[in-house]
Amino acid sequence: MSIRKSAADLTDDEIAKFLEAVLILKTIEVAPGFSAYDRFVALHGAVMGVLTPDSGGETVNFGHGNIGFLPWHRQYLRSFEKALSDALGEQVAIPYWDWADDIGAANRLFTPDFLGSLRWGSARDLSDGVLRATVPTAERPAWWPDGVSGFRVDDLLEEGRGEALERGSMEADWPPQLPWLNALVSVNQRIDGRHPLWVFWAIIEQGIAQLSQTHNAGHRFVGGHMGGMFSPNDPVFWMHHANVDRLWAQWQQLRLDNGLSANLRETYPDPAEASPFDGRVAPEGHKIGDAMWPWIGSTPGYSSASVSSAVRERLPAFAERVRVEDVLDTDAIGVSYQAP
Amino acid sequence: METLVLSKVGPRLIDFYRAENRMAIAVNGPGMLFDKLELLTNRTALEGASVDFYRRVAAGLSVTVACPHAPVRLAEVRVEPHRLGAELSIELGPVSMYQSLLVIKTLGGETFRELIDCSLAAEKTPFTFHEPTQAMLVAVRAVGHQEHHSSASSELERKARASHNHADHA
Repeated sequence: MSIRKSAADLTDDEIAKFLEAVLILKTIEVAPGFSAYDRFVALHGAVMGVLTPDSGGETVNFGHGNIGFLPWHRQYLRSFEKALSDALGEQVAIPYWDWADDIGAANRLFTPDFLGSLRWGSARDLSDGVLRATVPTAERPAWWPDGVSGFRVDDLLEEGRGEALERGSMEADWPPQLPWLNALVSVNQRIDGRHPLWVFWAIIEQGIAQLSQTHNAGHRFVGGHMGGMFSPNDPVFWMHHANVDRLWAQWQQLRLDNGLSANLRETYPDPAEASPFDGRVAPEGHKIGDAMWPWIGSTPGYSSASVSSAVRERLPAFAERVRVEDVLDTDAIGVSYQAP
Repeated sequence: METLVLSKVGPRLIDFYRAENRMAIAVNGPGMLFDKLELLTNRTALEGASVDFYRRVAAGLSVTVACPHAPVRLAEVRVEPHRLGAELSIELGPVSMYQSLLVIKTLGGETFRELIDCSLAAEKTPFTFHEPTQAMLVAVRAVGHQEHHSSASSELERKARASHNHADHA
């Protein structure tokens, strides 16, 4: 069982373990000069536009812009967490960035001892912490992996920002207020009788006037590499999405506790139900019985059209076939969230 | 100050005739979901909504755009002629799959409503009528760029064709 804690509550040892696992993943070469970490980053760009045997030449975004945003990223985090654990040789849990805890973020998460500082204004290279492109020998912690000089963004994945991790364009429009987040995890609004997950998804991915500071705003708030299709270049990505996933898990549990859904399957819309926003059923990969690329087993005929051929050649392959319904139960997939 | 949000959920219409002098709008998917904001009013050119009206409004606004890709900067507020009249539009920043934040202010500190009223400066004629003024910002839907396809893709293709050295990577 992976017990995910608030990043602000991690002990020094837990922080070290997470960062060490990240840096080790950066040292594992899966293609010439391309690391196991980079492969996960590449996947996030590749999922934006996937040609499938059934898509008729149109690309499908398996991970964004519809309700499958939630299960796809749950599975993505799960795969990454396994890779971290395999790299370190022991269980590593992805911590979550508790958005409402701005004090914890300022004093613990975005500090030189953890992820490095945020910055106001234009995006610039990270100036402190172990995620700099080059970390001076004297500043390297005891667990520093051999042969590593720093955390470098691969040049196929840097989106014009360079090999040093950048942050910037942070603004004051953050953090979200806890009462509104509490309202979100208990939202049961049925637009025209449709399943309330449509509402939960739309707010948590994109925001709404009353609660604008959610997923997309978080990417903007951190800025730099976090603002692009290869946003997992910044390790804060994993913590950001762990919080998305935590809030979704809370929303699911509240539905069960309050008798609003009889079981976890009922916390997800019927595949034939049309979105209350565009009147269409969810696209391929987003419906409850759909497999989520790239976890499609050995089914042929899938290819990403949103990344370069060089990136495409370096994508990970997964033997398992994972459907939306397979990840609805966090207990069943071995994930739990510890309250802050 | 409440932040308005443009998203798949909506709205597409923002009341611009408001007694405030500052508004913030978080725009999801600039260039992918939305191309620009356009000012629309129910007033005709005969009632003051002439090309000069749009020019006066544009000159009275300061708009900044912040996005994850670029520094905060002034956003372009453009008044363009069109065969059906003038059009005032506000850009939303570079194409992004995430979000930009637009902050619209009046330069003189007056409210948006006062800026509109002052800029209309309509001469009373038999051709004016007396319905309450409405002024709205409309979020114009994006065309020509697929949702969530990064504009960086072509750059990545170009780079992939070029030789590059991975030897220095950790």
